[in-house]
Amino acid sequence: MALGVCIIAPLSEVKIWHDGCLDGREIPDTLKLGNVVKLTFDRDSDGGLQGLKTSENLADNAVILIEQLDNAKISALMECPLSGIAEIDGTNDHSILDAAIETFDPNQIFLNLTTKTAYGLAIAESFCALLSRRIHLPESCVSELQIILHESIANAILHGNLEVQSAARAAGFDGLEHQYSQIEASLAVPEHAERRIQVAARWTQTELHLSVRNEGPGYSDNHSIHEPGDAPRRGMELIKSLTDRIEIDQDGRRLNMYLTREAEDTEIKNESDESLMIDGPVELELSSCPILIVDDDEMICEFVKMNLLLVGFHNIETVFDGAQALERVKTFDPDLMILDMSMPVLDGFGVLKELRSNPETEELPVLVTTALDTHEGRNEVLRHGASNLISKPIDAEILIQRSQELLERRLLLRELTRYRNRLEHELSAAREMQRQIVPSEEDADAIAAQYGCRITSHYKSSSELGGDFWGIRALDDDRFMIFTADFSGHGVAASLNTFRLDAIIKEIDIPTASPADFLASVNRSLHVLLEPGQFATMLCAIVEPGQNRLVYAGAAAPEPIFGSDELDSIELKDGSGILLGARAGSTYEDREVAFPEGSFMFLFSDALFESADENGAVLDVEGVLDLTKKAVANNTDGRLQYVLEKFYADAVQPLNDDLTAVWLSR
Amino acid sequence: MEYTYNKSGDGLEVDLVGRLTFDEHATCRKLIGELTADEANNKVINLSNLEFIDSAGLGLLLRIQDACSKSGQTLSLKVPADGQVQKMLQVARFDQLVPFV
Repeated sequence: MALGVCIIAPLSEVKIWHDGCLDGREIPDTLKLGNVVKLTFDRDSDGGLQGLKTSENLADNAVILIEQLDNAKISALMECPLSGIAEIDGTNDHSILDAAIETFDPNQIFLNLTTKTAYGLAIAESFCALLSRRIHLPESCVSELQIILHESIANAILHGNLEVQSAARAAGFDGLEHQYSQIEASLAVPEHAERRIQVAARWTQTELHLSVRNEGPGYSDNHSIHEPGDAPRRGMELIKSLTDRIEIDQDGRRLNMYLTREAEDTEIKNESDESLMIDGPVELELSSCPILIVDDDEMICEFVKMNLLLVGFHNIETVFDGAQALERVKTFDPDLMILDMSMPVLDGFGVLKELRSNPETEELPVLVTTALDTHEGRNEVLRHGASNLISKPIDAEILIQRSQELLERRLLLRELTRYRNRLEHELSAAREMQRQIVPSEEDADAIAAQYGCRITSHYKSSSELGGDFWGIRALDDDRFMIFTADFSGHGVAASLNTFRLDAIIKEIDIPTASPADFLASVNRSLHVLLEPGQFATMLCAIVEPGQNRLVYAGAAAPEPIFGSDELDSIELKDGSGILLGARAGSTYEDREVAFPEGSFMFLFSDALFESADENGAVLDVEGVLDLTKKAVANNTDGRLQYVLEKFYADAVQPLNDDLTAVWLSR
Repeated sequence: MEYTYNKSGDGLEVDLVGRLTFDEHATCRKLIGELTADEANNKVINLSNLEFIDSAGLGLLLRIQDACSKSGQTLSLKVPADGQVQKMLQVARFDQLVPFV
């Protein structure tokens, strides 16, 4: 594994080793391998540190050597997958470098500081943060780790490097005051203040080994750093109580602390890119989403990629201009594009324009990274179709958050689309099934023709599936049956009931003489099957052309229209009866009608007279009767068609209810 | 570390913010001076807004308690529900040493 090494001098001035030399000093051979990484800090308008820019990929676990380390710099460095941070002060840098090389290990991190720098820095928290970028630290154990690290660092600084004696509790505030004076005095001694403290962590699958080393006179067992009964003694006690075991070596200068790693802690986040896909904060499906990074600045591409890798995304590609991006999109099919605006060949605006005009890519989430800081500029980017944008210099946390949001939304939409397609497919299959239980106009007419009759019909459901149903059956040589039914409601639930009715009708013996008995049979079955509140209206007619008669029975059905070419003969008849399914044991009434040659019967569902026109007016049954008379008066053929044309000309569409209309004539 | 006072009648509440650790000795020295000069009988130290506390910080609290009881005053602590400070108080069993409010 390559080792990245860099030196950060006072903020403005970045020193990098070039050609084997730094400031004329030759670099040790051991350091010539691997990358030399350039890092610069960005500063915000107040002159504070804002972020860290890297010139090259830092995924190789760089060691940072830095002057004038402070909390702000440490925080910024936490954004990088560093292997080590060492402060250099121009005195013994080479020995520190050698130590860094010697201890370099992908499963190890270290921090090496002078005492004067370390004093007052939140080292334990920073080190924990650094560690948590490398291994999974359960939320619950972070505080404990911080306590362990802080207490051991405090001991190393105070009692090790600064050689300060503990203040006994019995000595009260005077004892503390004495300790404070000792600290101040010792910090003023360069020999003490420049002593180093090294904090390191190294881990295996099962164990975490923390060590804190100082350069003081050394701790020994008989040299009690705390007086008996003193509260701060809890420092060492705390460490013991929170670790599995401790060891002191290097002549009492190094404290080693060992902790068992829980099974869930064992994923190493950053040993190599491959291991990233095993686990991470990002869920598996999300983490597999292809992400395309587009930026002409290779350094930024790497920065973005590295940060995404760190949280578990592993299907990432980078390209360096807009034209390459559009080309790559075709084959890589990303779920997210992270796009720079100003690029050679084709800029971000051009890419957005092209993506949004192509149906294949118009929905692709695009996260724009831009240095534009005016509202106009940012709005312009959004107008061009950016899904979201983040400012440059890029804040890693915001980058990850936005990327996750966009990908989650993308996956959710994809899931919804898949669901919708599946539902559509299933509904379409159900519709086809329903179409099959309702006779086609040709089939119905063919049956009626055997008895010297003609049938025209119309069936239209208001949604994918309907609650209307009608049918025709040959009963014997002389008689056939025709019926219409309408279940309460419409849509899927009502349509399921039409399938039930179809099954019932096929099951029961149809009495050849009495439609009332038929309705009573159907009612018995439906009453058992239907949920409370569900019911059906039905009209059933048995036609006996040889006897010139028709017997029908109604179950709360719309009034049927009977008549002949004589307009005066056309009238509404009684369709009433008890709703099917409403109660057990309902009986129905057979009604006989003369049905000589030239007669017709017109059956229709309530949608025909209850559908409103634009003014909210409905036809009403009387209106249907009028239309029927007009149809008879004006047309010898296509009477039903005439009625429906007039109806559809006025009714607001789509209709709110299913419409069935059947015209039987002799 | 920074801190503010809240005085009410016979009570004094000190609200600590930041880190109460061994290397905050300059602030601690100042706090000790002010607390010992104050004569309020019921003293409360609010740790809810503290980010971090170490054993030196606990030691300081114990010394403040010692000083209070010598002067016939009481000291109690307001503690956060979670975070490092809560964890530290818990592992040090500090509730057995100084009363929490």
